[in-house]
Amino acid sequence: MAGPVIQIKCPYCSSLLPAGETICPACQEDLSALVKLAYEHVILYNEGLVFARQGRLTAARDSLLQAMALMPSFAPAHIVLAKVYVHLGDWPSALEMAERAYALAPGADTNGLRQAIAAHILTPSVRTEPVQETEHHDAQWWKRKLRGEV
Amino acid sequence: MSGAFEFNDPLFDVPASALEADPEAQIRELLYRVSQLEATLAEERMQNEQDIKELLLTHIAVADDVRALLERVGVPTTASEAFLSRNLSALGSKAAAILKRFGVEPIHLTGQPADPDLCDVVGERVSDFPAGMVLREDMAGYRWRRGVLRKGHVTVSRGRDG
Repeated sequence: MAGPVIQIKCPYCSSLLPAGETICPACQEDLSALVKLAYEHVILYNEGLVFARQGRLTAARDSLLQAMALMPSFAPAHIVLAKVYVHLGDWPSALEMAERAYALAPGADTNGLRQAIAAHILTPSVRTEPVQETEHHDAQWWKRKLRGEV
Repeated sequence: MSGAFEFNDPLFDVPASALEADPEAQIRELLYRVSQLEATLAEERMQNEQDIKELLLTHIAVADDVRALLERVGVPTTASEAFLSRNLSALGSKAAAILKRFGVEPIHLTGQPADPDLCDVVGERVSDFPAGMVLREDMAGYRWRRGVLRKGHVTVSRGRDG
């Protein structure tokens, strides 16, 4: 998949590097190291996703946390990390990640993920509450709910 | 576990050569290249200074020749001598202006004790002045932004008793 658009300017001649290229078309300088640094969060995301698919959940979590540290606005890392936390049984962290993913990339996928996590968190008695009412609660609210404070 | 939690998210493309790149090694190589460039730059700067110094010394020699010619012409007695004197004088002024623009200034030595860093003693004369005092500048000395550009040649006093 093409993935996020990352614009890289050649530090030697200021030309824009075409997507997927590592050699500057204007000055022929090898910018592969610079491209690697610019794509580091994507590389870590891919690594985290592969680890997750292999069931290596803590390794996946570590890679995804690194990806997020490098690029806090990179929503895909938040989405996969939310799922990793689900598989690790850390539901509050999963919900927090899903909320952040929704804030970064509002859409059906991210909304569905946070709702699915919220649905798992809620006890059967709580789950009877109207969906409309629970939809807009944030992670802190869910954490309080889990602690029985709400 | 719900299907919503499956890891069916997409992997994103990363240029293959970027995956194999070693930024640390490249930074090391770049720093080496920078150090080489700095060394070359320092050498070229020194060479430039040397070239400018030689150019200014040549210019000073030409200015000296013009001054000597002007002194030789003396007070003009004919129209052609007056024309020559006027032009030599203009040439001397132009030469002095160029030296000034490059921050070259004459070193005033006369009446001062002869300083070996500023002048070479080329003659001595018995005089009422203390021994070692500069009596005459046989060749003007100059300084510039890097220090002494050319030492002066001076005649100094030998004192009253010689």
